[in-house]
Amino acid sequence: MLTRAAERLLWLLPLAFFALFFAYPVLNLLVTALHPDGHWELAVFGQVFSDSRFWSVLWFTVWLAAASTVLTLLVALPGAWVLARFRFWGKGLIEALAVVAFVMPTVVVAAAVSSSTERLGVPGLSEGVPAILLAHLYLNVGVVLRLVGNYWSQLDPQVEEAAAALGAPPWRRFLNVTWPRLAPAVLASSAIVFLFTFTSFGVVLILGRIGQANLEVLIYRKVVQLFNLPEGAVLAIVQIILVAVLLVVQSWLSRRLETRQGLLALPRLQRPRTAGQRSIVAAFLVCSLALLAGPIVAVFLDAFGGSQGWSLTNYAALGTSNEGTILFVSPIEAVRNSLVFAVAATVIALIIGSVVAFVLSGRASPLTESIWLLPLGVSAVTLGFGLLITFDEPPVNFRGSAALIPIAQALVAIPFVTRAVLPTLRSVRGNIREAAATLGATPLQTWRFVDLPMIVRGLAVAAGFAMAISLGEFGATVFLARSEFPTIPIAIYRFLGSPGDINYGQAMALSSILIVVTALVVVGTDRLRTSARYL
Amino acid sequence: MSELEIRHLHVVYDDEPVVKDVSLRVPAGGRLAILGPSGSGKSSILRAIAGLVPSRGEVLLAGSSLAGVPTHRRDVGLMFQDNALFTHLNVVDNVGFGLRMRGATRSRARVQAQRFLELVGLEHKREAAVTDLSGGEQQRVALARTLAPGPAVVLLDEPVGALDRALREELLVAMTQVFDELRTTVVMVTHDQSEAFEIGRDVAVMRDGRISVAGAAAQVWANPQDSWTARFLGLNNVMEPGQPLHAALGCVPGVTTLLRPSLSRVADAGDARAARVLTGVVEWSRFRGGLYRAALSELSVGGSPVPGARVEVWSDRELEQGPAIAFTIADDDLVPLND
Amino acid sequence: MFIKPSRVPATLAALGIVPVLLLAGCAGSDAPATSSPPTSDGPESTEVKLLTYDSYNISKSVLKDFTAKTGYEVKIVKAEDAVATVNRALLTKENPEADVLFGIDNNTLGRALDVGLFQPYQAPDLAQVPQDLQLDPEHRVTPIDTGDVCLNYDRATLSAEQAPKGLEDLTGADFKDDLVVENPATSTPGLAFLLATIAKYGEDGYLDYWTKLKDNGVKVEDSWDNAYYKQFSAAAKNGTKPIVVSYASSPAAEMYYADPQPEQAPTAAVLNECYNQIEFAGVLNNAANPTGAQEFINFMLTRPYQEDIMTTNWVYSVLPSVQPPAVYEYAPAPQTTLSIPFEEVNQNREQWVEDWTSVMQ
Repeated sequence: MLTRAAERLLWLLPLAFFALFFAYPVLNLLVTALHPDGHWELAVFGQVFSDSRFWSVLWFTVWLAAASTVLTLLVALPGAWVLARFRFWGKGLIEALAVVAFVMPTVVVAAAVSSSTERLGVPGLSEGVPAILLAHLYLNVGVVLRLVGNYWSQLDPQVEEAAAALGAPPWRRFLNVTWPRLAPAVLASSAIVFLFTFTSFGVVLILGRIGQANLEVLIYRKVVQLFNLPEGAVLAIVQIILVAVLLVVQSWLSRRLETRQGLLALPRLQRPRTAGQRSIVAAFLVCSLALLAGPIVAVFLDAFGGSQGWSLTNYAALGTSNEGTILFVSPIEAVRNSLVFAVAATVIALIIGSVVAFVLSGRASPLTESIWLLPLGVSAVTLGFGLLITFDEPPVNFRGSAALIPIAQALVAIPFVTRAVLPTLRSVRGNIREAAATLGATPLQTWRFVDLPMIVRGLAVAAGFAMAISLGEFGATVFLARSEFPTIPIAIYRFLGSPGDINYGQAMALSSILIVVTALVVVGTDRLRTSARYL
Repeated sequence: MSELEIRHLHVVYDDEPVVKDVSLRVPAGGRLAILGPSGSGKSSILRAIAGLVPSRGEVLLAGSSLAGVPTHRRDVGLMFQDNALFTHLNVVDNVGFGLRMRGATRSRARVQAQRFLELVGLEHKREAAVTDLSGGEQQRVALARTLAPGPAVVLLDEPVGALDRALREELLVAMTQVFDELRTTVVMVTHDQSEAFEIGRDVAVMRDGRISVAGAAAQVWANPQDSWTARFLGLNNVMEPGQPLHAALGCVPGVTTLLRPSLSRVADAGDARAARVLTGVVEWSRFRGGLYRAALSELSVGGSPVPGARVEVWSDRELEQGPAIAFTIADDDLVPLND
Repeated sequence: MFIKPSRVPATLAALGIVPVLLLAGCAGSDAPATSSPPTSDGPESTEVKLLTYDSYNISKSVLKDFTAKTGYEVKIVKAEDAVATVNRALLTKENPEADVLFGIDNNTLGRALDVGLFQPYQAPDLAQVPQDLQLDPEHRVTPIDTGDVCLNYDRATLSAEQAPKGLEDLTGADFKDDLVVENPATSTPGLAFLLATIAKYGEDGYLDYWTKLKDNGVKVEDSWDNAYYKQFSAAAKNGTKPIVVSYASSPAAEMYYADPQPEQAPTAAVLNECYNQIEFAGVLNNAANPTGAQEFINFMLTRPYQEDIMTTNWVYSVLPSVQPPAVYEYAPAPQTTLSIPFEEVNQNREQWVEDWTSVMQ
């Protein structure tokens, strides 16, 4: 057990980390925006706000996020109902696929969507807004399925039965009984989906038509294509503010969800009995498999199938590096880089994230807690841009090294780690430790035999998420990755942006590798969690 | 098994004194039940004995002070109100935990634990996850876990609190058997008086951080000391000086007096004129806890009516409604109280 | 526009947070070796890194000659198209990814010179290069080759009569959905083509012209590589665009690579309203191996290199003594060219590109 003073000291670690790698870059962005020509001025803000393109991009960003959210809800809500009420074969698979989809690298999703839609012969869907919406649907459908599905399963179906007994027809039961009770979960998950799609980057960058840009892509173009750092910084600040507002709304909605009472501890699931129920469940299985597994299958078909039938040509090409290719190193080195960066990022995120969780598990006001749980990485582009312009000059110059990449990836992953570890830490807190002490366990033994084994489960899940996120991180990495050490998503992006079958084939081969690694990491740690029971 | 004594114990939570100057003694192999309403500070006494909260005063185990001794070296077993089972361990490893902490190998701890599982009748669930057990089973695991390392004293915090009545009875019987067999020194905390008198050889009643009465169980029952304790034990016939019944029964003037509810029935209401005979009409009667409890009204003592008064009587037979019935009042039916 | 080094003290002043300052200081002193890329081998390096655009090509044998003569091995770092390459170099100015940059052109030079991307170096052979190609009097960049950005068309789709004669034709219904161009924000030929339209229609008229092109279904790609090899019907497997912004020399390249040799080149350039481009190389400031970089620039002006690029990058040599090979008969010189003075481009380029982006979005 730690004293108060020791806990305060412990705070210093995450505080220092965030001050240096988040607050300092954000301040640097502010200076870049407000101090462009050696003196303080608001001119760049005026310049940006008077540009009609800024407003049309902002409108497109909001519109795209709203459309993505609505589409995701429309598709996922019926599915959430099926998951909440029925027990059936293949349910575990669908749930696992949805989790994998959620952490799937955006670059891979973009590649998969264009590949699968072209394969289906609907080229209209392979580019532009339809393709972006499809990619957003794939990435976020799991959020709604899981969040609303879980919540729905805990709503007592007897309440609806009571309404039926009181003479309410099905539509009234839904409108007057189910919906009011379900709405908080739907709102909370909508807020999350809106936030994620509002800050979508890789998908829009790759699938968007020329000139189609949301705020994230506009920031990227301003900085990387036009080298207009002050305007890029203004946009980044606008993005930070908008994201902060959305985060506040989202955490408020999620908190409201937690305080709802009257939930069932154990959901009552039934096997589909009537023919109608069976066909609904069957339709759900088919649709969700098509949506969640289809794009993955398309990537593998493209990765193994070249112009001359089935072959391993694309994979073989990954091992070679010649002067003519667009990557400075062989693509297989990108795989190695990705793994090294992801492991480093996971370690950093686990350390910082669990320290935050540890301190939060003690005394923390709800406000402090929400602040620390805010996913900083939602605007990865802003993060990457801030780090890029901050650490390339004395006093702190990290740009020559690769160190910033795992740091940026860790910043994205830390809130996920904290969220995963916090509940288990809370369950260890309190009298479980006291029980160990009364049974004769020294503080060290308590840590070794009680704290550690209990946290390990949470840590395993956290590590899996952190690893998956780091492996797929694109928005920040694209600013920071130098040609000597590209990551898999960077390599995929470069290959996708280059002409020729072999480049496309290599993009798909790399995507398939990333899919396998991500799925293994996420599903594997989920396994670990259940087998850790008898640790 | 050792003697436990606490002297002038004070516990303060967030500047709020919750235990005020409590002194108690439990002989080796003795069983003390601390009875009190929730919030009276009884759990804090246990936590102070276990060294989980800072306290003032002395805690002596087998005659030596525990001051400065950390929890894990105090050799006390504490069974928590919500069990606090290790959810990452299965049943047998929960029970063997204390033995392992004392240096036993895993296999030896498991063998030892098995004995205690048999004692609480859970040997068939040894490999089960504790989260898969019912509430009663979880409580039995918690009991076995507390007993397994053979602590010098066992502290029980509402050990059967969350259970339904049948399970409660079952576990209480099992517990007394185990304690008798192991000659365990026990301090139990409860808000339920039937539990307290069933487990405790000695009973201490707590109110607002202080002991209001303590002693052998029968003695506390017979002489509850003050009107609050009497009422808390379910003895409701408290007569204050100045009340008509107080005077009519000839209580010592100025002394609050308890009329015990288990009065002897007089078969013939004709003797009602005798000075120490109480007559009345049954207003209502209920069967509760093996006894019929009835309220009498329209009372008269020695033939003269006592308007407005009402008493509770306990009887092993149902009292008939309708005509007035009569009870004699012996000297020891009137218990003087201290307030 | 660019942030001067004064940004750092200003930042620190703006912070006003002591712990952050202290931390920054600590991190700085903890990482003493970060001023140069850890992957480079220091001043003794036998490696020269060349940062260039994706479609750059050079014969292996020529590079081997260079290594044999100087002992330096050349590593090629490819960014996207040339404007993106220059921006990448600008973003990593303090810690360059390479020692020498090739591919910056007369139209993108301004910003790079202003912020000190390059260090001055005068190659001995520079004297042989015509004076009018040496745009920087301080010799921070060295001219390496020239080219003419012209419209190209697929002869399989369009005959010489059907082909557009110049810029104006492209807005006509005949060429609906036929044209692919490069993004001037990322690509130097794209920028050259944009400048050609500004030269022709003026600052007030070029955006209207582009609006018409947009309505006529122009396709924009981020790099020449993608425009040519992904969209142009004569070069890309599934290409659907018969007209592309490329070089006057491109038809010769098509002829050179065609097997078997056809009667005439499968593509042709529209020789009107082309825009001239000069490509430069420069030693990057803060380069890990500046000596090796200078050696490589010397080498770029030698005869073997200058001859090689004519059939690898399909550009003209800057040395008057180096004559184009025979295949260049399929690449006649432009008949008319458009141009905007260097200084004017420097001053307005960013605004023009931003305005173009706004219109095309």
